[in-house]
Amino acid sequence: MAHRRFSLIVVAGSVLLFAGTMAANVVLDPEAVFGTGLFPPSANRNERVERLQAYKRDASSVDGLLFSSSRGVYLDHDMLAQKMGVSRLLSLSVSYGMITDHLPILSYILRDKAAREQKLKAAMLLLDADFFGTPPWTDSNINSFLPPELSGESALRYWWRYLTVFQFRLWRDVVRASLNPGRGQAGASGSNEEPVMASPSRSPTLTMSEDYRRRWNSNRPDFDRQYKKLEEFVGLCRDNGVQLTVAISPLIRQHLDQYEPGMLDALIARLSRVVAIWDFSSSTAIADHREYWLDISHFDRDVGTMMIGRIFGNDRIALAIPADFGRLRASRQN
Amino acid sequence: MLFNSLEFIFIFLPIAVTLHFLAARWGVVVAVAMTTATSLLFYAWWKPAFVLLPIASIICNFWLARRIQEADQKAARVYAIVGVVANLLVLGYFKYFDFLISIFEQRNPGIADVPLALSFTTFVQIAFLVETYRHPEAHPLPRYAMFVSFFPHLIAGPIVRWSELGPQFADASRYRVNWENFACGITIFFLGLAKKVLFADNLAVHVAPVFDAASQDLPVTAIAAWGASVAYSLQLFFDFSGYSDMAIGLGLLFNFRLPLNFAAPFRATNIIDLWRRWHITLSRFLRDFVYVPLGGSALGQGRRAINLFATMVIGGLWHGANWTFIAWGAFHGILLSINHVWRTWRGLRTPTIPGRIAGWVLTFGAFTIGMTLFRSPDIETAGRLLKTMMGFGLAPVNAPIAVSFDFWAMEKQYVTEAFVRTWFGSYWSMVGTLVTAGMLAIALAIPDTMEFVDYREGEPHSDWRRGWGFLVWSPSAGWAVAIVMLFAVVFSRLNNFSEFLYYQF
Repeated sequence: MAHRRFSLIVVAGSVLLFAGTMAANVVLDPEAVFGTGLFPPSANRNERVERLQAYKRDASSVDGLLFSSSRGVYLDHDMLAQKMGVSRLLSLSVSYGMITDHLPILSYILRDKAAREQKLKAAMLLLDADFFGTPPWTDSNINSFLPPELSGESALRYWWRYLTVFQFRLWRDVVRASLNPGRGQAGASGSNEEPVMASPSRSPTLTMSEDYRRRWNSNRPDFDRQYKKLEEFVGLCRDNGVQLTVAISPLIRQHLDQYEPGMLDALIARLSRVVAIWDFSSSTAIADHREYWLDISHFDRDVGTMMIGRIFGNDRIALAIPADFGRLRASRQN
Repeated sequence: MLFNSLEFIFIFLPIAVTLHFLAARWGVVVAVAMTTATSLLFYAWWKPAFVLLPIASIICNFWLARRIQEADQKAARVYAIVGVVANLLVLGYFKYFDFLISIFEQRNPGIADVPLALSFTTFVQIAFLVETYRHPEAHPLPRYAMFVSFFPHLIAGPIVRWSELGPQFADASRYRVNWENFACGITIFFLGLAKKVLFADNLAVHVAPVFDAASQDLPVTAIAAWGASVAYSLQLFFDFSGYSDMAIGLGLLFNFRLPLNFAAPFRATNIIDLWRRWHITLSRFLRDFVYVPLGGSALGQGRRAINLFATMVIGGLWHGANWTFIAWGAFHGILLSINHVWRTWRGLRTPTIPGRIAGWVLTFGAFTIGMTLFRSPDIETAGRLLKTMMGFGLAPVNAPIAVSFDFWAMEKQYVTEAFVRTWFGSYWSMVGTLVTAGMLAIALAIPDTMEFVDYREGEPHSDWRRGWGFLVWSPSAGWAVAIVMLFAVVFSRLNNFSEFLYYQF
């Protein structure tokens, strides 16, 4: 073979690979960032982009916001809107959602509202004590990059990343799901349901000694940065006249036992220096009863309803709320 | 911009090569100016404002070279000394200022914010001034600017000489596409890329936890310390030799031949031979511009040992302003001196097979110990690891495992948690051990890139090549398919940002 032909074959092969990758990303759109819409939504869709798009669609009518991880999906949004006194509540719940996700979009929405000469009335922030301070999912995976409007990242770099990422398994899953509807994909189009959150990838899945797992879970290398972001979040709400409610999500006993005694309590106490917090993390009545839990991480709708009742008053709520479920930890109590 | 980034491979490189040969239609000077401009753009991608530094350096050094060339012998010597000292002062200011202050303040030196490529361009330009002093000839500025800034070697070498590249830049026939060099270049580039992405980056994840733990005085086992040091030796080899291969491949795309930088160094059975095969262009520079001027081996055994020691300490210091690099250089200076004494005593006999095996174990073992110094962030960390490697200190059995590589094996109950904790500790793993052993086997048994393609520019004085028969590269359909498939595998891994280790030097 001539050197020239060899060179051209290698160059052509490489360019085809590159062009094929870009075409597959645009056509199959596993993260749903291009909005191609030719295939059903993928389980790997970028929820952070979706929620920004959701806001943009309803920007003029939204006057209340819910910030949470996928756990917030199980709060009754209509009831919450009514109790918060807002006419249009937008849920900004995303899988593994943390303060690193919530602060940029709150900041964006407040700027947008100011430009529209509108006000945001109220916001609810549901934090997960088990994740606070751990390395965030934000901007760490192809499905968790914040859109450039929120991150300040160059749009060119953002789109280049989504155009050129080689993600064979996800392309395959998208094609399989389109050939075999109902299998392999989570989150049907139009559904508000989130995919069930798996165990955090950082945690070992095998049975380890309790002592070992507790130490693993106590490691919070990003705590200080996230604490500052929480302060900033609270400050933004205060400066813009937004009525803010902050709560800590409930945890199941199996999950609670994976933390060193008093560790979560101390963490929440520290967070409550920033803002008054409704602490639902360790109610025995909820934590010990498996029927309240969809899985190790997610509480069910009844628990969500009880949380709303406890925070905003339980009129018109038929459920009996356990006495130890939820306590207000006032700001600067420590 | 990194050689292993998609924007480099699919945007910058095709544009730069195309512009070079298109510009050549209007003349050599136009092509030289065009490639100098693209090279400076390549540099500016890192921090745009810093591009002024190589530009200023090129102009000043060119001016000095002109003065050297035009002046009489005595004045030329003064200009040459001023040039060398000025280059070293600039390097010293950016790289060693904080280190010197830290000595007086009795603290560990901080991490210096050294402009990219400064260490390499300083040596390239010092060599140019000395060559001009020895052989005073006039060279045009455009060619000199391209010689210094040519992006394939700009950031991390190979450290080129004017005598190698200057004549090539002056040869008008080289400004036409040479498909033979292009085919060879693209093959070398992809093989180097694979070394970096598939081998070096896979070792990095195992190395970091052990060195980080040791720096925090957390317990590591002897197996972990040895494992991480061997893994780092291999990581550095695959990373830097992969980078050098890519640089040589890129040079060939432009029809220029850069010198070899690595020649399967881990197959060496003595430390002298290893240094002839590891970072060859740096060793060559140190030999010609430090060791020989100090007297080399001409003044007896004792003086040779002192000269070797001084040369290697300077070589160590060139890598960074830290006591660890000085200790690493001193350690190798001692090893080289011992090796020379051994040779003098034994004579140049052909070693037996057991002798070669013993020589390899000693050479690789010593090199690995040196790498412990090289990789450690400070001398205390290196001390802890070396102490552990000598058999002192084991991780407490109840320390939690901090790396998850072995969890699958524990989950499947192939091994117990206690076994992993006891032998590998909290920061090293069974998987890390197997990966490292596999990579060592690759470094020893698989032909080197330059053996595959039979590239011999700047060949070292070492009998390092083996005959690989049918494996030797040729522009065949089989090789074309193999290279495209290899690139496909590499391409699937290119989304992770990974900087070359030698960028920091």
